[in-house]
Amino acid sequence: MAQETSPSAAAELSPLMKRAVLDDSRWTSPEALRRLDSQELEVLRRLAVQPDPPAGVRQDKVITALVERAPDAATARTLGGILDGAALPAALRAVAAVGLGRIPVAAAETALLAHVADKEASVAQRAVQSLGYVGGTKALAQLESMPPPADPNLRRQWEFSTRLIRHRLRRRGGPPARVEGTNWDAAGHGEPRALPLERIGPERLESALRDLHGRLPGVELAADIGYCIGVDRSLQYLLLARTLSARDGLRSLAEAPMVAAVVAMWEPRTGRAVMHHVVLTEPVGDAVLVQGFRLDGARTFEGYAAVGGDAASFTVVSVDRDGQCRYRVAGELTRQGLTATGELRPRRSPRRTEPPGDSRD
Amino acid sequence: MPVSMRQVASGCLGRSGSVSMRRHVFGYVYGPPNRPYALKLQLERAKGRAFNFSAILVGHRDDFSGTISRADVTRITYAIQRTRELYAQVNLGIRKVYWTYVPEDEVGNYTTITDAAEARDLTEDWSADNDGIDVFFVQSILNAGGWSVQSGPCDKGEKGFSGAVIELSGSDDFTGVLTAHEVGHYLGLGTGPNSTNVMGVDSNNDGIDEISTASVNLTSSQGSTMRSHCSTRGPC
Repeated sequence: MAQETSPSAAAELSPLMKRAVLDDSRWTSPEALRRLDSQELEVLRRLAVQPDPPAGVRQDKVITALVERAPDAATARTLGGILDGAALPAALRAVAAVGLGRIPVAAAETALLAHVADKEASVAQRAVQSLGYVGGTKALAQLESMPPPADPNLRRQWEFSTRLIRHRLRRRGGPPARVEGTNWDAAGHGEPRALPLERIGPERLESALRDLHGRLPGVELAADIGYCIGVDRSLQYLLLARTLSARDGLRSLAEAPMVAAVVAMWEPRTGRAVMHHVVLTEPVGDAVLVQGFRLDGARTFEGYAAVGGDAASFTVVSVDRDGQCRYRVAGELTRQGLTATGELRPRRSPRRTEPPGDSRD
Repeated sequence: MPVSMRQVASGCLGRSGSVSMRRHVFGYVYGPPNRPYALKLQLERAKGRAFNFSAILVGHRDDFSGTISRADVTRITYAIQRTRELYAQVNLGIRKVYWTYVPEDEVGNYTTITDAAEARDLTEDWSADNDGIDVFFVQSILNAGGWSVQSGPCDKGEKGFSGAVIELSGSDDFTGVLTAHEVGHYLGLGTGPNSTNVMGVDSNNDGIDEISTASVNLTSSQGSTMRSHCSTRGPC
C-alpha cells in the first residue's frame, strides 16, 4: 500500500513519479505515465488534492499524470473537486478544467458545467473549451441557454464550443453560424505561391491517429487517408472524418452539421501530432458552409462546398487575422481523396505587445 | 583595455545621459535578479558578440494585479542573469533586454499552455516590436517546460513559431537553465550530448531533452552555432 506523502517524502517517490510530478523535471511521455502502477496512481490521487503538497511536487503535473494514467470517473470527480476549490490558484483550477476535457464521462461534463461562468475568466474559458470536447446534450442545452459572456475571449470560446458540440452530435438547429466574410481580392500583396498538399504515408498517419485518439469523442477519423500541409517551418496534418471516405459518405455533408476534419500540428521534437484546428461543416440552403477554427474559437478560414454525385467541390479563404498567412484553396473531395490547388500570400504582421509601464524610459 | 560603462551605454545600448548599471546596462527594470551580477563581465559580453532578449510577460497589468506577479518578474530577471552566465562560457552575450507584455484582459487561455500547438498560436498572435528574440513567460506548460523551434526565424513576421515559450512554475535555478535551453534551441542548438549540458540529453528517445539545474555546460561547437545565428550581432 502506498505511503502517505509528506514534505520530506518527495525523495521517496519512484523515479517515474519524480519525473512525472517534481518541479525540476521536464516532461514525461504519455506512454510512460500509463505505466504508473496502482500504488503510484493512489499517490497521484492523494497529491492532487493535498492542501500542502511535498516540497517540489507540482500539482499541475500531478493532474496531467492522473488524466493520462486514469481518465475515468474517479479522476473526473477529483478534478471536479479542484475546480470547485475557489480558494485554489486560478492556474491550477484551469489545469483541472483542461484535464476534464480529456475525460469523456458524465462526471466531467457536470463538473465543467458548474464553471462556465466562473469568476476567474481563465477558468471559465478552459471549462467552456473542455465542454466542447466532452460535452453532450446536457452541456449543449446549458450553453445554448446561457447569456452570451461579456468577456470577448470567453464569448468566442463559448460560441465555438457550443457549435463544436452540436457538430460532434450532428445536431441541426441553434443560431445560424456567424460568417466573417473574407475579401480575397483585397487581402494582400506579394507573390502568390502554390499551397503544398501531400498524402501522408501510412506509418505517419497511423501514428498521428494514435496521438489524437479520444481527443474528440464522437468523431472518428479516416484511417486510410490524410494529408500534409507545409505552409511554414512546421508541418500540419489534415485528417478527414471517416464518414467522408465511406460509400455515399459525402452526402452526409449536406445532411447535418459535422466535424469534417481535424488539422493537427506535428511537434518536431516529440514526433507527436497535437490537435490544432477543426473543420466544421453545416448545410446552408443548397450549399455547405465550411469553416476552420482554432481550439480557442478563433476562426481561421471559411467558404462553401457544393455536394453533387460522388464529389464535393469547395473553395475556402483564410479569415484576415493578425499574424496569419492568407490563403485561398479550391478543390474537390471524392472517395478517392482530396485534390486542391491553393494560393498563399505573405503573413500579416502579428500583434505587437506594449512595454510595461515600469520599463518605459 | 578596460571597457567603461558609459562607452557600452552609448556605443552598444544607444543610451546617453545618466546611466543606471542595473536598469540600463543589465536591463533589469524590475529590480535585481536575486543572484550576483558582475558589471565587468556584462560590459565585456555586451560589447562582444551578443543578441537582444525580448521578455514578454503573458497576462500582465502595470500594478501586478494580473497573472504575472512581482515574484514572477524577479524570477524572469534571475533567469536572464543565469542565461547570461551560462552563455558567457562560450563568449555569447545578451546585450539589451526589452520588457513587453500581453495585457491581462486579452490573454485568453495563454497563461497556461497545453501543448506545442498553443505555444505556436501564442507566438503567432503576439510579438514585440523590437529586435530581440521573443521569449514568452507563461505560468505553466502542461507537456513540457518550454517550447521553441530549433533555429528560429529572425523575421518576426514569419508564420509558425517565432519565439520561445517558457513556464514559470519551476524553481529560480531551473527556470534559468530552462531559459538558456529554449533560447539555445532558438539559436540553433539541438539536443545536447549529456545531462550536464545546457541542452541536456534525450536518454529515452521520447523527443524531450532531459535537463536539470546541473545542466550548465556548453561546448565550443555549440557556442559557435549560437554565435552564427541571424539574431546574434557583431561586436559594438
